[in-house]
Amino acid sequence: MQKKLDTYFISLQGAGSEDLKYKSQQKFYEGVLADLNAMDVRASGIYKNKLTIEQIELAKENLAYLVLLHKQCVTSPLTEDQKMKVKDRGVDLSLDCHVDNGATSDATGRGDISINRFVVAPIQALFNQHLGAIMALELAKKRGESQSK
Amino acid sequence: MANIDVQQILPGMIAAAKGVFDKKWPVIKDYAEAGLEKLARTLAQIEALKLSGQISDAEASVLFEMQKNTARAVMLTLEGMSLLLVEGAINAALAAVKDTINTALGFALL
Repeated sequence: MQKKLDTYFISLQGAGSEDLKYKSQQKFYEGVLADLNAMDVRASGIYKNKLTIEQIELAKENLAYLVLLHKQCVTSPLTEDQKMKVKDRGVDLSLDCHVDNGATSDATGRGDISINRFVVAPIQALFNQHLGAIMALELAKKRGESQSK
Repeated sequence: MANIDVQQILPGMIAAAKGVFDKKWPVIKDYAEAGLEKLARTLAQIEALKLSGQISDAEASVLFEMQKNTARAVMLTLEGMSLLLVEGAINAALAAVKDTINTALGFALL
């Protein structure tokens, strides 16, 4: 998943105008959300796994922000109310902006909106570090298990 | 407004985290310092993009929120690592005295 996202961000930085449009990447985001949901289900099935579950929830929240940025649904600095909505309602993969999902205002037909190329590099670094942190904790748990055997 | 200098803000971030993790710090130090440096670099990158006008105030606020979530994820790893290390130390200490205790008690307590 980390590789999938990293590859996506690399290609986005050099993408042509059509590929920068939200409608061209909507399916990709659906796939990422499905992967994160699958990770969530697996993590939830493991006893005493609260920290990992929380990390995955935070990654989903960041995906919601990425999609809002791509559709340019946030047009003024985020308010506490918007942050709560993103946390509560999760990723909005529709072609529209919804206030209920953390957008500044409602808007329709955002498929042709392009992501600002300049936001891609910091988002790439953040997702790499975030997924790396999840992997690091998993590896530490595995080391802990093997040491206690 | 001047750009954020990573080397200037990093010691403060490390000192704050060190204070929180206290005695557990030495065992998570390597991962923590590397993680905090990455966070500081991304923070500086967002700030530079904002100051150069390449991203808007709105975009910067979203990126900072994403940054906070990633920082939380890193802290959760540190918390998990420190808990596991404490548990590992307890298990190692008990394993070291296992035979003595079990022999003295006459049954396998440990």
